[in-house]
Amino acid sequence: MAAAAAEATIDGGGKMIILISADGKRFEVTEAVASQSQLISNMIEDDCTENGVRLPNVDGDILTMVVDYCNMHAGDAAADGDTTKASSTEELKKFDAELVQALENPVLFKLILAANFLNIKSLLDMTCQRVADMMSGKTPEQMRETFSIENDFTPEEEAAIRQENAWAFDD
Amino acid sequence: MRPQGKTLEMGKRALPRSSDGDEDRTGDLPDGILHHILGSLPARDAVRTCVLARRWRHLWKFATGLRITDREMREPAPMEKLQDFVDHLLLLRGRAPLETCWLNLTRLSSDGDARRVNLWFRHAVLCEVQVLRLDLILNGFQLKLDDLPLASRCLAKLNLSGVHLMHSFPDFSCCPVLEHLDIFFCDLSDAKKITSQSMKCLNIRHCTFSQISRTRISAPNLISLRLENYWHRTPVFEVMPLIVDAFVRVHDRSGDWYSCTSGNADFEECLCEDCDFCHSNTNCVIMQA
Repeated sequence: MAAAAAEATIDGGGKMIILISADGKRFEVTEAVASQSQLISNMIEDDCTENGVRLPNVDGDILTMVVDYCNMHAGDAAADGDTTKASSTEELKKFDAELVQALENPVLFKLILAANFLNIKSLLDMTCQRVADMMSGKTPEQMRETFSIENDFTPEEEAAIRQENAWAFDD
Repeated sequence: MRPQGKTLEMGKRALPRSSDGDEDRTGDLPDGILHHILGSLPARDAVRTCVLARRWRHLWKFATGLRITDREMREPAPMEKLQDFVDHLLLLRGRAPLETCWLNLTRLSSDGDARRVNLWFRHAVLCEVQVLRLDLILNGFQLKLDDLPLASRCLAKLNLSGVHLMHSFPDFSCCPVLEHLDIFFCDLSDAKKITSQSMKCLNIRHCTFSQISRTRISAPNLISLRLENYWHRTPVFEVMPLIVDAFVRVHDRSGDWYSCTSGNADFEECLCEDCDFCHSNTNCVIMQA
């Protein structure tokens, strides 16, 4: 997967950099692709990507998803006026939807943490929106169930907080 | 968003650690991320998370977004009920900074309602909102936005639908980072001038201009312009040397002609009724500087 992702970007030109996951997997990507991460973009500016960028917080399987996402979205910012890129908007939406829909919660959360760490705003927005969509319209009980949240209130405490915020519970 | 050190468990997992010692990190979402997630929820759902567990009790107050709508329940909420909700929400959350705010309302009917919504709108600006959206598109009553210029150091994107913009409102010279403005289904008949030094993208669709005077649009750094299906007199654009992409669609109820001064074309004028170019392009005129 990593090799395929790297090959796909070589024709885009630009200098290549190596990303190294927590478990030692190496991903070769163009600077343009990697720069979607604000963290890496800053490192490129500071000229400290020569020996590869170690990402001790991100596992290989999660980094594979991040690299795939960045490869797909590399055209967003760079290719102004390039109609072949512009026509793939629908494709991108489909790719994004498929990327997050299929994920189990633990993987989704890891992807959120990676997007936060790497500071990739669009990926963070999309993954957080996915969690919000899973919460939207649910009762607190259903939300707890969906995300395995343990209710550590006593029934009396919970009732008091509901009472305190009755203005949000009154329908 | 900067990575945040303080972590907050989303919940304790019933599952034990897997045999290879790889810890299940489902629980470890930082506060900042939960604020972000709560900001993507309808406001009522976000507030209700206060009863999930102790750690959730006050998180909603720091949600980075507000999505306020009267459409979220089975039947749209009456305005009084929504007012009660939003007043509580805004007073209790205070001035915690906002990245986004979306007011999507269908039930306005009086000047009192309009005053209240104007107040909410201004409050979002005080909370340093970056993306502000006011959507009253399906509302029979047209809200007049206060006749005061907006002043914000943070507002980057403004989207207005179904409102009446008074004379001073579209003076955005006190919004130095406003780059994107969408105005859809709005009454611009009292807007004499739309001004912004920072604006890069302007979309005006299905809007009504004055029958008498032309609205002037002064946005010298505009890169992208879309003006579609407007009524009455066509606005006049001051020079826009940086424009890359412009699209103007004129329909038969639009004004008399359109004019534009831009870049290398000092003045272009098109009498649409007789213009072959327009007709051959299904009434579309595309300008490129």
